[in-house]
Amino acid sequence: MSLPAVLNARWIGWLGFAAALLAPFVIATPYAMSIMTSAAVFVMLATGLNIVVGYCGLLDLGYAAFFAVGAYTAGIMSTRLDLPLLATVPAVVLVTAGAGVLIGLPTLRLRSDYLAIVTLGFGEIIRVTAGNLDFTGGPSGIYGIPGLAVGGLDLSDPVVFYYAVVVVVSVAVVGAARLSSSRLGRAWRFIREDEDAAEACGIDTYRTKLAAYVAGAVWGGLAGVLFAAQLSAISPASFTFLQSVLVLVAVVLGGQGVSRGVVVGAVFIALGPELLRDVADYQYAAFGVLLIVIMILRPRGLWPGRAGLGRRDA
Amino acid sequence: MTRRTVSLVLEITGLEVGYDGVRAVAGLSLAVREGEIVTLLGANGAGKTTTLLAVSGLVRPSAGTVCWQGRDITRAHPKDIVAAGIVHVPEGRRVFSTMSVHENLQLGGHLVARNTAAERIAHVYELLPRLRERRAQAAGTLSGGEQQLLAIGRAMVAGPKLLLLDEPSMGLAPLMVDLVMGIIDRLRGEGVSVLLVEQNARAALRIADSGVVIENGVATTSGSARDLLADEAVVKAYLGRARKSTRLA
Repeated sequence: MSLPAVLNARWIGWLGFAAALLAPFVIATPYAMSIMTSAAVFVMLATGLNIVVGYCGLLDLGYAAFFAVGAYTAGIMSTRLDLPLLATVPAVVLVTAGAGVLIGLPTLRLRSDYLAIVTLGFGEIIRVTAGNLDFTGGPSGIYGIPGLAVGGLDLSDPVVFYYAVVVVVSVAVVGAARLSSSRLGRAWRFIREDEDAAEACGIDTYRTKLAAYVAGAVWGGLAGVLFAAQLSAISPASFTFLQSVLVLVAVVLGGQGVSRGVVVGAVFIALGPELLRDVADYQYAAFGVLLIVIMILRPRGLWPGRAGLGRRDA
Repeated sequence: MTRRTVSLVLEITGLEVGYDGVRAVAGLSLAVREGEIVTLLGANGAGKTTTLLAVSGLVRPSAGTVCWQGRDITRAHPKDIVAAGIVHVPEGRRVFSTMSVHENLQLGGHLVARNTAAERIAHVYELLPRLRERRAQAAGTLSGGEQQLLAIGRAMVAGPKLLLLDEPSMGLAPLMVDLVMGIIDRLRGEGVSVLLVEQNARAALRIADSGVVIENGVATTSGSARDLLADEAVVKAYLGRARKSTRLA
């Protein structure tokens, strides 16, 4: 089997899942569990943004906004209404999907560069608004968010919580991949390739783009719930433009539109700075150089392209 | 090419389309009968492509009407126009180059039931065995002629009653031009009407039932393909001197 064939095999996904499950057996210090959990949440974010940027080709520079909307919705409902975190999930799905429609409806008529600017603005609006309203706790945010519990089962122990996150994120990754191979996912890729031709073939490009945007928003919102559960406190500082950019970098680095590549890209972006802690002050500089080198060597992302395509037999 | 007395399926009346104030089409009228190939002749910028875009809903006309089987579709959504049986094959083929031949054909069936699409794809493969041979290959690796066949095949999967073809022979080798024209002729045999825009006017008139000459956004001359081929003014303006130009085309 050639390398691309191996990497496109089904069991590679299971291998990644198994690696995530076995990681705590190698190292389970509170610090390690914390960054591994963050990495898993980051994978979910990148997977969600991949639906928008990778599958459908819409450049979104304000993706952290949906992450924030999800985290705040879960945080506010669980602290003010004394609800368990799990009970906020339906509301989070509704609110983030609504936010996706709200921002997508007027902007998705625009072409990519305009869309990028509007989403950038949207990301900032959400962050600044959250920092100035009373019910979002202003700059200090929301604290005392309960940990995750299913029924009477408390999942807040770091290792247990890590496993819960891995399971949720895996379902999200597989769900996104399934979506991409569906009829809708195919329509997304046709729009990414050539919007006009897709429209001429009978695809309702506006609605199809909106569907990608809403799906991405919901994925991001659910990642926000996990984030709120992990940290028990959220503030506007967690949802900066840098966060949006890092998620985008993970998608591009992993290979836009390639679900498993994006998982690798996200893990790399989440864990890279931690692994570079030894170079202390130069941590992010070294990380930046590393990213540039990777993009020069593999401009289409870490993951090799689809096997069998791109060759001509004639 | 026998003349048939059949009903009008497409009727364009007084169509006007402007781009930023410049009128590309200025009061154009024409009609297509069922199972007929009508070719639009005219110089670059005469408004041929814009007319096709207006019919498929990809640009909005500022005045005039487009009637399809008696229904006004002038401002309908492109998706609904495809669903009604009008499929546009845009200029420059526009196949999805990183996707496989088969996936491209599947796109054509975006609006139809899965098994209907599968049947039609099988029919396309039967008609165009080259595409079957290359079904798993990325569309961008096909030759220009094969990409054109794929673009037409993709349109066929949508189950068109009227095909809008924009410059299907552009940039193709003469042998490929014959193949593409043969396929168009064959589609008419299956009852599909065709509105054909072609630089290669001679090749187009050879398979067309009738032609319409467009100048500055208006239809100036129309008639049967045979009459147009015999019309000296048309021949001089759009077909060049016989023979020589065919070899160059």
